[in-house]
Amino acid sequence: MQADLPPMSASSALVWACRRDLYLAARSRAELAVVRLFFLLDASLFPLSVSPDPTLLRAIAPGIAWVAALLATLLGLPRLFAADWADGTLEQILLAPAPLPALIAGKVLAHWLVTGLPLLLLAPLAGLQFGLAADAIGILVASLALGTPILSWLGATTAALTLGARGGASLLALLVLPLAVPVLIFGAGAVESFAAGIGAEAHLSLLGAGLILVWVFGPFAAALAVRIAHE
Amino acid sequence: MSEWLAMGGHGFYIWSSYGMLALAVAIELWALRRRRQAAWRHVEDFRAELEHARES
Amino acid sequence: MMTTGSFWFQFASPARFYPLAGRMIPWFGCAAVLLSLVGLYIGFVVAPTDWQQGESYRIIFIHVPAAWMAMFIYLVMAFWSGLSLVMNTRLSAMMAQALAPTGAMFALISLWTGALWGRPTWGTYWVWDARLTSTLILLFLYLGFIALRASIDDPRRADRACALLALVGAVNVPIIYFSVQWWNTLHQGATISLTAAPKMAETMLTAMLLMTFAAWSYTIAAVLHRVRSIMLEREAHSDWVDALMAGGAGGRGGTGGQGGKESPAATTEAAAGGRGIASTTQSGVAR
Repeated sequence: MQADLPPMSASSALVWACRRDLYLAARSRAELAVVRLFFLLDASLFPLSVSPDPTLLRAIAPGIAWVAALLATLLGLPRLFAADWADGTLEQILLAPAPLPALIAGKVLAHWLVTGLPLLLLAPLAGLQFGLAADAIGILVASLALGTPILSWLGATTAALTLGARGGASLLALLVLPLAVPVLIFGAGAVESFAAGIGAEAHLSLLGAGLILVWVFGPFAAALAVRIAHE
Repeated sequence: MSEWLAMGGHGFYIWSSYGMLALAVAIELWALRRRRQAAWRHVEDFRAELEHARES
Repeated sequence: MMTTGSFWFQFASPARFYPLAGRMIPWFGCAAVLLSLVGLYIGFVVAPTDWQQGESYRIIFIHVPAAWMAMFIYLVMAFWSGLSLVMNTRLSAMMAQALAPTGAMFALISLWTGALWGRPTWGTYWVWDARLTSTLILLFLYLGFIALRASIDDPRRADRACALLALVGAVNVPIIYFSVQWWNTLHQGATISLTAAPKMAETMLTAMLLMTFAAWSYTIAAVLHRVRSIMLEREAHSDWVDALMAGGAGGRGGTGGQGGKESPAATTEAAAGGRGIASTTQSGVAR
């Protein structure tokens, strides 16, 4: 498939991988719709199981939105590598004359565009459901914008590690969730601090720092994981 | 003696803690022993298979 | 024999490490028992009743060492994992594999004793303080490591996958701890903290330190024992295991009474001079 690809630079490899995955994603729209629906459904479960009391809901809204985002991301993670792994394309990608970290970065970027970005658009809906004020919703969206890519990268590395392992999605969840705790804390904390009047700058800057770190190290960690999976 | 055991009313908490530790250690030691025995069995089975393969 | 550096390198071979570990286990085991006896004596007989917490504070003699061990063991596991990735050695990966269950055990004990200490002291069994919560997450990290290893069939691939997981986890542990600490202080009601141990009398501190050393010795003994089993499981085809069966305590009714003679057996994996070493295994070979 890519046997006759000329050696690619990192940026063109990234763009190529991203484009390819987006194209493939466009073909499985239904699958992706499930992830988005799951986010809204999940968030809706809480008032049903807890209480529709508006003050309570407003207080727990950031946490719920963030947990729902986390679970929705988790739901969409296997598709990052699963299809390519199953038909051997991933091995081809490994052998391609292009920097593997860049190719993986392209895949992760595409994945985020398709699963993370929609959450940013749906979050205001969830926020309204829970009676969050408009500016609080803004902070929520900002925290998700910074945090969901981090989740994508954490997920990508662990998804690569579980390739060819038994246990599938539940193993992946067990591995990712503990690592995702800081993102959850700072993400939901940003909105809560804002609502409490303390301001969200500290939380958002920490998330921003995390985002930078994860973009710097993530590609190499995930690339190593993919190589390990193919030994 | 029973006064000491009661630990000023906190006996339940203290002895449950130490009891759980004792139980955990006991389980770990037992598991270690079991693993060693299984390992030797594995080695023997492996050898037996080899001998068998060589003979046939 | 040789220069100091290369002297130690020989123990990177399972063949050499097996008997060495065997000799070390009894020493550390005895040390663990002695240290705990002395520590518990001081803790229960010598140390006074705490004026604030009564007798229940005596739980810290196992709670704090367990929490520390859970943390340390993870870092040691990450160290061996990193080594195994960099130097591509099997034994380092086996050490990491051997450490995980003991680490998980200590994490569990830490949580259990923390809950039982929290109840008489602060009224609830579970307190979302920074250390307890971090330990809970640490427990999940351990379980994830063990689960990943169990779900990958090829041992070398499992080694490397788990090694990367352990390293990613290790990098995350301080971040997790920091974030949980942050979260804790931000939410009022965080005046409750299990990290604020009672103002400790010297005897209390001594007992706690002794118990920590006891935990360390126990860990070393248990992990060495486990890694020896792992070595047997994974190196069953090697010459040195062959020789062990031949020279070691008979009566296991092994291969048809002939005992594993120095047959070429299967392919060996760089078992550095395993045969001569096996004869030095004495009481260490605890079947």
